[in-house]
Amino acid sequence: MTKRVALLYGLMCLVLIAIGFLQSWNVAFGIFNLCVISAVMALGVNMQWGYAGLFNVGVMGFTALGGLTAVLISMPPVAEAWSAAGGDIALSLLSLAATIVAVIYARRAVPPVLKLPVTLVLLLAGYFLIGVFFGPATDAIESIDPALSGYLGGAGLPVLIAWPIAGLVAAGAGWLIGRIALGLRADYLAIATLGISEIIIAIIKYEEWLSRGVKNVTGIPRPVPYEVDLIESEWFINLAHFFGANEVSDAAGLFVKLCYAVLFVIVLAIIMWFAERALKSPWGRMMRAIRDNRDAAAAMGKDVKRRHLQTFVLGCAVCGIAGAMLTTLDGQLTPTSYIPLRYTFLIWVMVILGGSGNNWGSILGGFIIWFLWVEAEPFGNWFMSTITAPLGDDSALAQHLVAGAAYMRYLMMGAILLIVMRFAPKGLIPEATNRSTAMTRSS
Amino acid sequence: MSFLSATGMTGGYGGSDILHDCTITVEKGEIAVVVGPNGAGKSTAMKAVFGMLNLREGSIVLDGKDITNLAPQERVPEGMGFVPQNRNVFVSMTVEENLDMGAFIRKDDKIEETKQQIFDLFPILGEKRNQPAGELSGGQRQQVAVGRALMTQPKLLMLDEPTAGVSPIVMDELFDKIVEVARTGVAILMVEQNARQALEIADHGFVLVQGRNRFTDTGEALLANEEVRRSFLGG
Amino acid sequence: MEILNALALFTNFVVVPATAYGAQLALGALGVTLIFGILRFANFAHGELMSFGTMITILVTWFLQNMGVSIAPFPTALLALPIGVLAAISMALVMDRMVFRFYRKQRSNPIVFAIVSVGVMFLIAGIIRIVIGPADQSFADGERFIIGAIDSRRALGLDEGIAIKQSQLITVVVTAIVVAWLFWFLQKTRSGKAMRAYSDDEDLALLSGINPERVVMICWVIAAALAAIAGTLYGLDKTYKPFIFLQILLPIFAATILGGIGQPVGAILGAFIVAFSEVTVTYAFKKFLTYLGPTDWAPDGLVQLLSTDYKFAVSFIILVAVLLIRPTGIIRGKVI
Repeated sequence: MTKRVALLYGLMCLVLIAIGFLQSWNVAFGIFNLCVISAVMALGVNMQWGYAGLFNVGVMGFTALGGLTAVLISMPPVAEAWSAAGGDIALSLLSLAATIVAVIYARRAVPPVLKLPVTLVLLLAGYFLIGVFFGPATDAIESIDPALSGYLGGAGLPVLIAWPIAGLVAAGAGWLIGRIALGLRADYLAIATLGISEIIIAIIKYEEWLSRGVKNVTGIPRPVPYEVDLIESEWFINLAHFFGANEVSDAAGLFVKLCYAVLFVIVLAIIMWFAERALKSPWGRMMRAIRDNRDAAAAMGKDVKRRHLQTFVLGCAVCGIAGAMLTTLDGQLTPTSYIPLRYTFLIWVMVILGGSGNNWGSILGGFIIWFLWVEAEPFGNWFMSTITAPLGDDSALAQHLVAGAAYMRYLMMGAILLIVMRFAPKGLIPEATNRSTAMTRSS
Repeated sequence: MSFLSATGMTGGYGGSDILHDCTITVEKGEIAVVVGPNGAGKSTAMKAVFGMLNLREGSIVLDGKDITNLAPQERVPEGMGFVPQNRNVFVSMTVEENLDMGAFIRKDDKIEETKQQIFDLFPILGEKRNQPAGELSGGQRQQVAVGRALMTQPKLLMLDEPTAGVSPIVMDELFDKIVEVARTGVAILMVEQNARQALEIADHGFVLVQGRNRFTDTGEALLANEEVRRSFLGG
Repeated sequence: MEILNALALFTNFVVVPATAYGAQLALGALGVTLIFGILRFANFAHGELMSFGTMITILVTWFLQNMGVSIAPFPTALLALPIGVLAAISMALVMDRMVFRFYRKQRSNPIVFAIVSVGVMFLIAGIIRIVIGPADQSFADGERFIIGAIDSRRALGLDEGIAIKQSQLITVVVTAIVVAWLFWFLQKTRSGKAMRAYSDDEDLALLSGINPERVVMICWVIAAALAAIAGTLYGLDKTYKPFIFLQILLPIFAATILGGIGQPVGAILGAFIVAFSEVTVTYAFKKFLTYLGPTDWAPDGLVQLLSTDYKFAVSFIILVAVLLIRPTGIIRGKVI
């Protein structure tokens, strides 16, 4: 690590420590935990953009899939739902399998001319067939105690297992989408990934039998102690007093956050280790060669599409893990909270600011941008209050502006992105190797 | 003083020089042809005359005016017309619209007259005036390209390998048309791969080798020249 | 009689709304296809540009309404629209001058433009939310229906009425006028032909003496005007929600790519195909089939291909299908 990198990281630490003293340690660690999760997401996106030059605008979808997986793995199963609908679900799955098999065989059996229409007809027929069993199944599931349940529940496994499995699920989705969309020009890929993420979110929002939809899933199991338990346990009370904490509940909150912090940092470290190994390996060098001059690499016999697919899948997996971590931290799955500006485009600002192609840069970018995003609200409020002070308390304009202060963060993010892209396109920590020609059109 | 004097051209695309003290001249109403082996710098020389290359040394004088420092778009109003080798027509626009685009910088009202002259010169264009240029055959497209360049009524028309990729019959036709254009008083500077046929219609020929002038003479003389015949014309 | 009822039902719930929606998408897609064709990048900020133009229109409408100005039975927003258009144009030109022009001079990769357009999107989104807030806004006034459901039922003598909202009629009329003007401009005027030439082949256009900055400016002016009009019509027809404009990007992009990049006719075709597909696929055909089938037979479920929640899944499927099967689009546009 160069001096510059160490300096920037040091500054970031100082800022967080300052928050700890100025506001509270709870706040500081709350921010820290989300910073780490953001850093993981930025790492994932950086793999796709920095290694391979892929513009994935559907990050949100993979994050959401990760969150959904956390629910599906760790929540207890709803036995009633399974018994009510199990049979129908089995039949639906059979129908799905039958459709897929039928399509595969039909495509092999018919002459090329008929391939497309036959596929479409079979898919449509299969869709209706599955619907015959699926409709009643979902109705049954959703009608079981809709206020508290109304869904299938999960597998009841320990929540930490959910994190790597989330990565696998996201990887699987990434593989599917990559197969379809990766041959396209970069901005077409962006549009396609935007679409897929919207669809994933829609599925999570509206398929209540799966995820309770907008009713949210709360009470997701966690890998760390509960604050209420801590407050009542003697060993913790003694520990808190030992450290001179006045309010045990505050201390409990802090302790929980610290536990999460340790877990998250471990995950970040593991992923970072893999990412750096990959970057410096022959595979990584080849990826960057392909990114910098796709045609030359293809002419040399490198299978560009396959390499791109590998990178894309890996990046999606990382985003999935981050999504699971986030949902675990929140303790709930809130589909409506997945908005593109926050989960996709914000991550892009992180990657661009940090330095595309550089993993250390992405982590730093994740920290800085998340920090700014969170602190922008109090800052915005302060800013608006200050400049509207002369207008007086009951000025409608003043009230309106103060109410909109929260949105100053959008302006800030836009300005950061534009300023970095214009004046420091390589980011805070530029890519280690010399030329990053992904930015200029090869004539 | 020739109508076009491009003298002592030395320069390249960035690193090393491609042209070394290259000189090309064209008289009014005559056809000058630049030939040479692959990589000789023929197209580069043409681009240099048109201003698409930064010359380290050399000067370009057209009809007595020094245009060495003018950008390509600025040379068009001075009387230069340029037909690039490929991507020389607007494929999604009709033949007539291509001609309109050719006359884009003209502000007078005689544009329709010029268009009619082009249609007289290239009757097939008149027939297909409302067809998208992209639908025409290779030879017809070249005619559109030449017509487009002629719409500014240039005094010097430059063509970069106009017969590249066309069949021999179409090539003959194109050369006939080029001779007709020259007869209207337009000076023609042409770079060509098909050296023999090009020299047959040339008043003057310039043989370039590795960016330098190797032979300069009339078309007939070059055709008769043993060395030229052996090296470039296939004996 | 039953067939007529079925047709009336279909017209009311599918044909009429889809036509209006298609017109709104068409205006948006025309703007995007121009930017794609001439500036050669996917403008992620286009939705926010639409939102911005609409927002200004709304503010001016409120102002006019407060002043008691009215052009009843027409919505006051029509009076305010020219100001909204001007605002959108100014915003677009400012953004171009301050952001995009730099990268144009550098001949940057289209991806860079797309990323930077994300930054512009953030900026405009922030401005809009600070100025007007994130909540839904309604600003429509004037006569709501041209023909109400009850009246048309009586007039047609059927059980099913065909209601046509004034906003839908205005949408179609305005779109028709705008599209006609646009085609005249592109086909018959010198500037329009210059834009088409520039879109066709940039270098040859430069060679012909076409001024690139002028072409770019005209492109932004037209695209921004179209965006403001599209957003306002959409807002009049439904409501104005600031964040809907990111979602609407997907059908607009789908329509553009389906129709062929840089092909205005394609953009319009694509827009209507997307609109009709969206509405048809999510329409509950139950009542329709009930009318058509034998008297006592009625389907059990809603007979909906996809739930309305998945509306834009339709555009996405269309988009993917086009990119896989025929990436140049219906009318051979530019590609990859």
